[in-house]
Amino acid sequence: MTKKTGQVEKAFVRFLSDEGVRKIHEQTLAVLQDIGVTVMHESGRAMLAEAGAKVDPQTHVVKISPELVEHSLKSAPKRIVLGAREPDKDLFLELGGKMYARNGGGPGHILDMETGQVREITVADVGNYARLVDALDHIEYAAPVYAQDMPPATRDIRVLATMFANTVKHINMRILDVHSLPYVIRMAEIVAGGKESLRQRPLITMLESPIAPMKIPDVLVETLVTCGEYGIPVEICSMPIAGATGPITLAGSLLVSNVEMLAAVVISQLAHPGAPLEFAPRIMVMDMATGKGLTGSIECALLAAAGVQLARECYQIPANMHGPYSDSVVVDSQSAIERTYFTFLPAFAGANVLAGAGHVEQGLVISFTQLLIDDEIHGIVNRALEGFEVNDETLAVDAIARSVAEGNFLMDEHTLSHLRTERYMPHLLTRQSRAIWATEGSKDMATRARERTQELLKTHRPTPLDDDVAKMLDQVIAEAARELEHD
Amino acid sequence: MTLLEDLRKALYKGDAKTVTALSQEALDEGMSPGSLLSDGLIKGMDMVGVDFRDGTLFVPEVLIAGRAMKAAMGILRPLFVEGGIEPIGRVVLGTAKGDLHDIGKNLVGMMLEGAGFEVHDLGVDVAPEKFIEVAREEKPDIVGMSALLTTTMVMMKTTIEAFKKAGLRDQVKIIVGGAPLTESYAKEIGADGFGADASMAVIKAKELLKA
Repeated sequence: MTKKTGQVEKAFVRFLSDEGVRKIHEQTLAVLQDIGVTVMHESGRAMLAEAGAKVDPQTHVVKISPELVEHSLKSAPKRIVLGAREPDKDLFLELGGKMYARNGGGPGHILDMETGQVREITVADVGNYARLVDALDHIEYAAPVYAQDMPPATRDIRVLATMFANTVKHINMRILDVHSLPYVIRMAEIVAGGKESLRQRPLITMLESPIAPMKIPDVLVETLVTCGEYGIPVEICSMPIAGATGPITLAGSLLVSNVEMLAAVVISQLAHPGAPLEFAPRIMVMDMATGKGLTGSIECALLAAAGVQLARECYQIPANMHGPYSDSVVVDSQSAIERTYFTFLPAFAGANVLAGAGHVEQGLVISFTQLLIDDEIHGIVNRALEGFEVNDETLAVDAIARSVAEGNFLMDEHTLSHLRTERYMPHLLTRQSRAIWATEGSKDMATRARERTQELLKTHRPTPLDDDVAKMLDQVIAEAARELEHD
Repeated sequence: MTLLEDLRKALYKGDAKTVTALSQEALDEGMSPGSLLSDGLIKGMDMVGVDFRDGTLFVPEVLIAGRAMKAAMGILRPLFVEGGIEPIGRVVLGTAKGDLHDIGKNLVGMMLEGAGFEVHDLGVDVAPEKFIEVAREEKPDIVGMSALLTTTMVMMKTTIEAFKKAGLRDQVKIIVGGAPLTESYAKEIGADGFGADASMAVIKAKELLKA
C-alpha cells in the first residue's frame, strides 16, 4: 500500500492484519444479516423492505443481506468534491489524495481566551471561529459551533448564514433540528448559484450519526435521503462508546461502528445511487474510572487509524476521522501529547479528513487558542506526510564537492535554490535562543497562540458575500423565523 | 534615485556583480562615496536586517547580501582612505580559542559591515594574545568574540582577563555572543555587551559606541 505525493512513495501504516480486516468485514455483513439494525423511520423501513431487507414491524429491526450491502457499496462514490465559495479552495477526497483538516464543530461552550473561563457561545464567537479557520493555512474547511443567544428553532439556519459570511472555505454542518434541513439546503443553493451548481460543487457537507448500538434515527434517514437528492455529501459519524454503547473490546466497537455505517450506506444508496458519503467512525472509549466517554485516549486514536484502514482497504470510501483530539479540559501538555498522536496515527493510516481542531474537553468545548495550536500540528503532520525526495538534485553531489573548498554550504547556490522548499516554517513554535525568547517577552506556546489569534481576528477579513446573496440569505432567515419560531 | 534603488534591490538579493557595477556607475556619475555608502549600501543592508528579524529572510540570504556589500566595499574603502572618511566604528572579530564554529560570527560580521562598521575578522580559534596584538595595532572601538561550545566559551573570560593584564581593557569595548551564552554569563566574565543574535549584536555594538 503506497501513496503517491509528488514523487514520494509512502507506505500507509496498517494497524489491522489482512486477516483482521477480512474478519471485521465478514462479521459486519453477518451482523447486518442475522442481528440487524433498528430503523426508526417508517418510509426508510419501507424502502429497505422493498429492496429485500427483512423488516420486523414490531421491533423495527431491519435485517440486510450481504448482497444488498455489497450492491450499495458499489454505487458509493470513491472520490468526492467538497466545494468552496471560492473555487480554488475546493477539496477532493479520494484514496491516496491529500489529507485535509477541518475544525471541530458542535459545542455550545467556549474556553474564553481572555478570561480562561468556560462560557456560552455567542453569535460573535460563531463568526470569529469561522473567520479564524478562513485565515489559517492548514485548516481547509469549517464547521460551526452553536450560539446560545439565538432562537433555538432557527439556530441552524442563522448559524449557516454567519458561516457563509465569515469564510470562503467549505462548510460542514450538523443540524440540530430536522426542520432546518430544507432551509439550510436552500441557503447553500443561493450561495452556490443554483441547484445544479450546488450538485457539481456542494458548498456544504452534512454530519449525521446513528445511535449506538445500531439504531438509525429519523434525522439520519432524512439527512441521507434529502442530501442524496441534492448531491450534498454526508459524514456518517458513528460514535459507539467502547464499554458502554459498544463492546469493551476495541475490535468489538469497531465492528458495531462498521455495522452502523454500512446500514447508512445502504439507506443512502437505495434512496440515491451514487450519493456522496464519508465514513466517519469516531469511536469513543468509556473511562471506567470516571464514566466519561473519552475521545483522546490512545485507544481512540488506534481505533481511528484502524477505521481509516477499513474504509480504505474494504470500501474505498473517503474516511473523515477525529483528530487532533484530547480529553484535557484546558490547553496544556496533556492536550499537546494526545493531539499529536491523535493526528499522526490516523494521518499515516491514510485519512482523507481529520476533524477536531479547536476542540477541548472531549469535544464539548472549543478554544480559539487550541485552534491555532492545532493549525500548527496540522502543518507539521502535512510536512511529515510529504516526506522528502531522493534524486540527483536533492543528493547535491555537486554542492558537496564545492563544500570542500568553501568549508560549508551556507552560501552555495544549491542551498539558496532549496532554501524555501524543504522546510516547514512554523507560525507558533519557537526556535529562538533563551536570550531572544526572553527579550521578546518570555511567551509560552499558549500565549503566542493567543496573541496570533488576537492579531488574526483584528486583521483578517474574508471575502464578503455579494450584497444580493446576503439579502437572499436574510430573506430565508426571515421566512424560517416566521415558519419555525412560533410559540 | 533609481540607481540607488536598483543598488539596494541587488544588495537585498545578494547579487554581488550588480552591486559592484552599480556602485561604480554611481561613483562615475559623481555620487560621493559617503552617500553611496549611507543611502545605498547601509540602507539596503538595513532592509536585509529588518526582514531577517521578521523571519522573511534566512541566514544564507543575509550572508550573500553581506558578501555583495563586501564586494562593493572593495571599491569604496580606498576612496574613504583617500577622503579621510571614517566608518561609524571599527570592530575586531574572532571565535574564542579552540572554537572552530564561525557561522554565527560571520553573520555578525556581515551585519556589522552592513550597518557601516569596519570589520577586521580574525577568523576562528583566535588566541587571547592574537586579539591583544591586533587591538594594540589597530585600536578598534570594539572587540567581538563568539563561542558555540561550553568548553570554549570559558576562553572568552581568559581573553578578557588578558586584556586587563595588558592594560588595554579600558581602551576597547568587548562584546560576546554564541549559542550557550546568556546575558548574565556575559556580565559575569566582564564583557561590556552580549549579542543574543546577529541583529542584537549590531544594536549592542551601536550602543557601545555611544557609551
